[in-house]
Amino acid sequence: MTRHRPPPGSRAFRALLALYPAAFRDEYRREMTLVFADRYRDADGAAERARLWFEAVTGLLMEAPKEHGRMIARDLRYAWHSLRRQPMLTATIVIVLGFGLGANTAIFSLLNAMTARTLGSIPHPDELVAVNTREYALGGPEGSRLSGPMFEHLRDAAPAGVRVAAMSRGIAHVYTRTADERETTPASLQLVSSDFFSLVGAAPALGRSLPDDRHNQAPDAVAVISYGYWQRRFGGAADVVGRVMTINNVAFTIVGVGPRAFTGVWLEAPVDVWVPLAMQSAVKYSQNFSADGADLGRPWLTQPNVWWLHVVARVPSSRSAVVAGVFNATRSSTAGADAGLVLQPFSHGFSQFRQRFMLPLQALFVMTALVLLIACANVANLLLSRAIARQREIGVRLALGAGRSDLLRLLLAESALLIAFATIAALALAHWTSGALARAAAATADAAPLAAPIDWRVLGFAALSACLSMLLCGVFPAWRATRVNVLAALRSGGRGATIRSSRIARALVVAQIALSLVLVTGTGLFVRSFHNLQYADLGIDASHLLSVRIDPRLSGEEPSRLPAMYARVIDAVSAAPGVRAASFAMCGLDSSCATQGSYAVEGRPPRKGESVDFRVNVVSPAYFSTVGMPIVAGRALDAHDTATAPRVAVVNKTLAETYFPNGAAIGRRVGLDALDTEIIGVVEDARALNNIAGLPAPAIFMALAQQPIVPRSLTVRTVGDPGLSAETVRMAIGAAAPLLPIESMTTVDEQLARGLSRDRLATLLTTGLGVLALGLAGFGLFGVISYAVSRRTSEFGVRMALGASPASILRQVMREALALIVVGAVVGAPLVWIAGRAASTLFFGVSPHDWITMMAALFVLSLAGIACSLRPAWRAASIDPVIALRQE
Amino acid sequence: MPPRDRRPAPSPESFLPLPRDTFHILVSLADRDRHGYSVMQDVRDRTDGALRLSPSSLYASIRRLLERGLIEELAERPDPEHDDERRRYYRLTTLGRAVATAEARRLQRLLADARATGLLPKKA
Repeated sequence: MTRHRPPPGSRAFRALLALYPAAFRDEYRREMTLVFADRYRDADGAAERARLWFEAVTGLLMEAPKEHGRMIARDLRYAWHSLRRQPMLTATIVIVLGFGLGANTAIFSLLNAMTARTLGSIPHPDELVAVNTREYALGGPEGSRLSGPMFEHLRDAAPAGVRVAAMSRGIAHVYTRTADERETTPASLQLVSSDFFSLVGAAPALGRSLPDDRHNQAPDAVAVISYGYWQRRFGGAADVVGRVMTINNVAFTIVGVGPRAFTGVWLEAPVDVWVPLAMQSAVKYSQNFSADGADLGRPWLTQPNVWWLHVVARVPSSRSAVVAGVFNATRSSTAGADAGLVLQPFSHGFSQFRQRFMLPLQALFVMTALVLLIACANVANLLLSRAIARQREIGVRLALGAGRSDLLRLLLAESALLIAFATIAALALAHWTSGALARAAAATADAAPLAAPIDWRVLGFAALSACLSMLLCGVFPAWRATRVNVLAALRSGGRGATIRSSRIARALVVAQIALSLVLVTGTGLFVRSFHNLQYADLGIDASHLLSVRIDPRLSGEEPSRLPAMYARVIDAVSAAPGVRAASFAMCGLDSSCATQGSYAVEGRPPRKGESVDFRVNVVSPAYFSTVGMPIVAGRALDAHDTATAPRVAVVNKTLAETYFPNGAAIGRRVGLDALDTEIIGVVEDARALNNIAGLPAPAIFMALAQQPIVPRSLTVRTVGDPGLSAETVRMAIGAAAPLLPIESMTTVDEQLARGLSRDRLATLLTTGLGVLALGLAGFGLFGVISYAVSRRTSEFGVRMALGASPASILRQVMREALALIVVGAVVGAPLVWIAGRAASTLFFGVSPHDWITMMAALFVLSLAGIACSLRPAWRAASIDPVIALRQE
Repeated sequence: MPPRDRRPAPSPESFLPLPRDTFHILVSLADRDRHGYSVMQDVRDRTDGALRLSPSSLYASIRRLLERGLIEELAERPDPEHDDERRRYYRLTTLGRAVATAEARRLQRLLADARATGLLPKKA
């Protein structure tokens, strides 16, 4: 017999064999090392040894992955056979986890679609930034507002290589007509600076871009139309450049057509026509602005105190800090150092969707994550009880020489397979639900549906969630299952449920109940919040109201004759059958009025740095009685408040209480430049229908006859269903002012429903998630109690043989179930409190720590828990002692 | 006890064609039982060093051959005088021999075809 000393290097080779799966390694390591040592010994010279090493290492790198793949395939095959033996359990786990993962993935795909969308047609969108003031930075680029002079300063101050462009904050609905048309056609219009197209890299497909508007050159009445509008409106006519088209009755020459696929920088609101900023007053643009002591009748572009522009810059990323510094220096020199400027990324453009749905979606995402956690706890419990039931099988395998690591791998393969199935189900569910959700969300925002495709980010997220689920619900039960005392497992005949395992199972159920309490309470809060919104005291009588949007500036009447037209329209509409009253207002009930700042208030000098902001509306005499806004003090505006009479105003309760705390508002004076307007009455606070949750702000109502303002809204109170009176009202308006265009006509109930649609959707979704959580927690409790009962059949049999009544057994089982619910509630209560704190801004009229909602949630959860425990408890109580003892 | 396999025994032809390494290992075990290193040396010598099996490819093939029942591991050492007691010896099974023979015949037919078409001279 010969003994060899291991040659140098064989230890290193042996170490390299760690790359193989354990089973292969255990089988062949010694042999392979011996062969390597033999060859090493027989090798002649360094070159031969080097070649040996090379062959050994490459061979290893080629073969080890193959062996791993083979082992994994074998484990998966075993796992598949093992799962097929218990189809019910497999299906249950796949469904439970599929729901958890699916809900999570669906919400993630919407969030992803919302944040991932960029201004796709624009080259290098990452270089785009929106200039915002610190004051509005929180609202994102959509909230920014700058004045014309401010834009000019920024444009002049911009360092070389940096381009700056401005655009109107709003997209206006205008009416266009070509030379050969008699009727006008609506279009969407945005005012932009000349640099706009070059900044966004949108070279015209036809014609040219807007002319240079630097240094106040005389503005041209020219327009660039979008590619889509060119196709739709002009049938893609090649000679469209040079044609004349009226926009709100002013003639514009079309100078160019935008590039294909470019519809502006608002993601969901495509623009048809772009005109120069200087044409603001010509096209009668008057929306989405803030002003402070400005003359809104004069062109806005030159006024420093009308903030109506978004300013966007293209800045190479390396220079953004420099540019921010330059801009801020400009700002301080022109407008004082009160508010700094910030540059916000603009590659994602403006989005109504983001504005409306980001917050609710984030809340929903947290809720779906909780549902996934509950589902994981549930599945962990199912896998754990399955592992316990297989203790004998595992004991036998171990006794026959299987390694614990082999068994662990096998059990993990089972969980991996389950999770893979669940993930496939989840992706299908997410694909379907996210599409439906996107359509529902789009319907609430009057926008084109958001495409929420299952892209690589969603797939990555689903895979990550699946791995986390695997970690949470697969690894622990598998690890636990292989910690088996072989002798005990074999001796107990597979019924050796340890006390520790059942403790873990109970802990998991407690966790599910605690998390469900958070979700069910959240659902309760959403439902109550929505109920409060639905039945909120609006401060008006919203039933029987019809809201008509008009634009008298387009009626063809001379401005001096407009008041007479208003009177004609009011008289004609009021006299129409089924109409009780009608009244004009600058702002409709579904919009927040433009705010004008820094009012002076009699007897209350402004504090240092304070800006006194009021919501302003300008209304005709019968306004308060028409909309049903009760007068709480003084009188309403009436026909005596004419242009020549002293200027008067009615204020709302909030204004009166804020600025005249002693109830002395009547008779006091307010005004922008001078204290020239007398308060003659106080009305109840009213909420804007598009923001019912918003806090009432100080509001002032001026007399239409005394203000140079054009009303844009006609509100009509009808006797019966306002929808049925729409045609009568349209005819009455047509008779009194034949050329007055009617932009829209909706009932106020419809406006209200639209204002609540987002909250309705969010409430519906959270209710769905709450019910899902409740179902999962109930199912978990059912499983644990059923399992406990089946384990203790013989114990119950003995007790009953010794004289215990079925009722006492029932009571005992139910006591255990209740104990789990109570512990779950105790653990869940602080979680509810923490979650409430985080979500406090989402609820209206209900505290996030509302104890009634929490009690109700607890009650519902207990009821579900008790219902789910009744069946196993009943089974325990109906055990036949003879059969139970015979089994033993 | 493992469940009895009711499937019919596989035919030697169902294994064909054999991978190169596999066939060489079977050929090397045809005349005598060998341990791993001996197989490796034999293959190297017979191919004049053209085919040098690495420990990894050798044992991956051995594992597959064992699994398919073409070779078996010997319980006793055939030549305890000259060998390390730790080495494992392998032997062709009946099936293994049949498979190796079938592969050799297949190659023979291929060779005959090559001769018939003039690719190779008629007589070596």
